[in-house]
Amino acid sequence: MANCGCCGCVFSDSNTALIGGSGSSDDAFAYQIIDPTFYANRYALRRQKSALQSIPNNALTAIDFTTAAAGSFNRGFTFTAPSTFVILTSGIYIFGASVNFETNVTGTRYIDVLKNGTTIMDANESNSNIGSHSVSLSSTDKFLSNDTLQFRVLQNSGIALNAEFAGESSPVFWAVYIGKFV
Amino acid sequence: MTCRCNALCNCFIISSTTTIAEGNGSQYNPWNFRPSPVPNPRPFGYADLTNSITITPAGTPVVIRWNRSSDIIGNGNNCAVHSDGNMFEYDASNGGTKMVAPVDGLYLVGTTIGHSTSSADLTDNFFLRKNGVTTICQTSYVSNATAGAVNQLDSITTIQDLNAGDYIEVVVVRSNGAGNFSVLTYTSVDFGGFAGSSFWANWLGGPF
Repeated sequence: MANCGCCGCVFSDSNTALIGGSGSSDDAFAYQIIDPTFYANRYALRRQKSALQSIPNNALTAIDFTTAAAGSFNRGFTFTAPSTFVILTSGIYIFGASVNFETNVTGTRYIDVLKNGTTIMDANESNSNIGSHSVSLSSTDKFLSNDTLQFRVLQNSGIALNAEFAGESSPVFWAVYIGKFV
Repeated sequence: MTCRCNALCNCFIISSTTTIAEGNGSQYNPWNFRPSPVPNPRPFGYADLTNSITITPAGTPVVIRWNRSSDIIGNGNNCAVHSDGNMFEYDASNGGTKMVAPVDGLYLVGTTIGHSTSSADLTDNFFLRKNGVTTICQTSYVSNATAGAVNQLDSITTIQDLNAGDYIEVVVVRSNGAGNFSVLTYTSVDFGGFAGSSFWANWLGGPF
């Protein structure tokens, strides 16, 4: 076989036909990883809220990301204030979120990522205890262009609690494009 | 015959042979030869914990040191080598604490922390910290007397733009409550699993 020196495509010895499968240009993944623009422009989003947000008792609340803290970036997404991130390119993504809740010993702390206003893509929940409490999640899935994502939180302490502003770690939502799905 | 991904690399093949043609449009034309956009070696690092660490004082952050010399690689415990020398700062005597970015770019970083048994009320926070200063992701582990003593694993993952030389550490702190806890190796967690405390990073792209 002969290899193309610059893109990694594979050709058979006996003729000039391209070989399908892994390592050839017929393989969607291989085609993708050799695209110079893929690495240089990988779609990625990291949005950090720059202030605390009061979360009412026992009510799912989308984090308002209107004000972004330093360190936030957006390459390949659209943000619609106050809380909605729009995927522009269909594909597989890894996404995640984290938040710190104000100190309170009562109840549980819950977070999720909601797609298109209806589908919970991933969630996490834990009991509260002494001290401030952080909850984080990460997951992966397929998305279509114009799918929307929101980061929601819930607490049932019995009173309103703050989702705290903590540097670059709370509240934060992120997503990164991994590749196409065939 | 042109390469199927001609739009990207512009190589072409002489139709009668497998020889790649020189000249305009071939890989031998410097103008058309595009260097790989992926750093070589590709930045990657993975470390796991082979000695448990007791976290005693409340409020005192502890930077996790991975793969310490007293129990290093090849100890027969299915603990793979993870100081690949590319991203993970490591030496045989002192282990290492840092994932250091060798090039500018976007990185996916994460850690899994195993928490020891405790039946006391306490809250443990662990987080990823950039350049010794900035927390970029964190979560909490809670134990309480009502639930009793249960070992637990928690994991956090995030993305971050890093410049060459920037580094990430894993920091654990018993933020509140009574009693101590330990950060556990994989041999210490329940179910005899192989998923104890670990720390990893991957370059995803860039520079931007």
